[in-house]
Amino acid sequence: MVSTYVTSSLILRILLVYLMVSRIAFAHDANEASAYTVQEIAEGNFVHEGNFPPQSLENRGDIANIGFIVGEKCVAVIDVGSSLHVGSMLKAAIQRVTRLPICAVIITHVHPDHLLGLNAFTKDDSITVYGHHRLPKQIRTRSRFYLESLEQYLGAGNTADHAIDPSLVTPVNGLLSIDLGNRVIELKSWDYAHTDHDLSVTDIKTGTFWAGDIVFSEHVPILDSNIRQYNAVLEELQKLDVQHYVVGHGSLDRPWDVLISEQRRYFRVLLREVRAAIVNDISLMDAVNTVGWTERDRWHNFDMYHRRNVTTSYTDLEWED
Amino acid sequence: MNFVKRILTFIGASLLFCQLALATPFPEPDHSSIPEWIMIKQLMFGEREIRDGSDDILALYLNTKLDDSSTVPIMVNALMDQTEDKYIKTLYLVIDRNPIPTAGVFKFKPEAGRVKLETRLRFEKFSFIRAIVETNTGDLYMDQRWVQVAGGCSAPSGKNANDPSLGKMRFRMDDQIRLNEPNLVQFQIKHPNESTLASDLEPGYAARFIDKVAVEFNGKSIMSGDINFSLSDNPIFKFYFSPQAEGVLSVRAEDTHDTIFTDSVEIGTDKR
Repeated sequence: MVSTYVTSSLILRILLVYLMVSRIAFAHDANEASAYTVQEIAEGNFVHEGNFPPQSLENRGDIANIGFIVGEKCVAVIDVGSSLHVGSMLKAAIQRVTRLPICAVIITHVHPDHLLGLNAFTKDDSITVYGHHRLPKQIRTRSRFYLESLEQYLGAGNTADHAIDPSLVTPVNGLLSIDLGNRVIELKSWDYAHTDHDLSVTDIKTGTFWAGDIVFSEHVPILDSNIRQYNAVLEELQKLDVQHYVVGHGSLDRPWDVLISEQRRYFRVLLREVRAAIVNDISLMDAVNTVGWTERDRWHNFDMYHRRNVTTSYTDLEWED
Repeated sequence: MNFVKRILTFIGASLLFCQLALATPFPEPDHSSIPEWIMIKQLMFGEREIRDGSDDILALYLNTKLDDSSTVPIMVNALMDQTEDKYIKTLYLVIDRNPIPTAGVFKFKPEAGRVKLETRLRFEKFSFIRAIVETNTGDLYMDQRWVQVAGGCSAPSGKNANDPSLGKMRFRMDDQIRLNEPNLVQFQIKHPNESTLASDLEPGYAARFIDKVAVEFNGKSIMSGDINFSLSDNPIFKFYFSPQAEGVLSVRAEDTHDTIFTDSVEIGTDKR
């Protein structure tokens, strides 16, 4: 009798423990999913505002502004976050907003914080993935390293389920219109801007411009391309009639014109001072620590990315005639 | 209850551990006990002794804050003059954990006056970079630095291998060349210098990088190097030479597609 009591008490305790653990786990997931909010910045245009990079365990890689546009027929997703985890949370957020199916996933560029959540969407055959015509090549050459980094960040573990199949991408060269049902969105491939394969999206109905990482807000611009051509793209963007916008990183409630002007000022400083360093025979080793540092207090994550921007511009401009 | 506590503590600790691993820099390991280096050292130098040269033979410089693993500027300065009796004959640049660890083997002449080499390197993984010099007397000396950037070899250069300016060279030197003393000269070659790792993995496609450079002055060798894709795209070289007269400085580079690039520049004492 005593031993039966002990046994059942043990079973009870194990059950209790199991229940507590699973409830904690459940509560954790529920909290996180509801914490993953989207805001409707223009009619039918929903954005999740990510944290500032870099990714960490606290933000779980949720570091980019990503979102979706809802038509009367279906939904277009714009960027999918840095992991399956982020991609799934975006997908759940879409399902909370609408019952319409997802028909398009648009990848603005190859960087992992915009790309690696793609497989949360690709199981569905009715979804078309759109990217710049140079995106598949970028996926082929970079994804091995991105997956290794993701592995490092997730800790040990297998990231094979994050591997992106470049042949999934329907390439966009120039302009492409997609009808989501009484709502046409326009995709545009840019030549050399933030990268050599940026794709922007415009929702014609509301005049909402999804810039990907071509434009930054508060976060120091990142140059993974050619500074002179990037600068020309910004000039072009300043002429657009933008009613609402989404940029890949930083606050979305500052005037569009201010964002572009700030970024052009940064590039002006970079161009002027890098050219001066080259003329004055200041080596690249020294230039990264001197050029453009007056801009330091004006941007988030300056120390993390500015030297790289100097390197990218210096190694290009040193070939100028 | 204890069980739950233990689970939560374990989860908490493992979270914390990952965070620390990410937030704190990877600690610099002991440079002499790196497994890759022990093997490379044996293959390149056998049982020969490599002494610490950082006091009086050579110094290796690079920035400690690095952001671009595909373009890491480095500088090696000899701390001794080149004389007929004692001079640096060879400079080896070794990156322990690169696909081809020997990034470059450079030959220098006693007439250089002093040895210096500035170039830019790619790093595929966290690694030591080592500068090892061999003197005419056969002695080996080393200086090394720990580098924490990765992915440089597999990063695509973003440049087109069919660039019409492929092989274009740029020279740079002081306005006034001084005879019989070390003058700095720099040349750079437009070339993707691409790595096999960054290549598109298309069947039949062979990566293209420069594997030989040779610099002559009035037909006499002043510097040469066996290199590979551990050097950044558009490879750059800056070094000393001591001209005894005016003349022509010429560069010849050869890549793995057997293309030869040549260019030359006239050097005078009162021109430019």
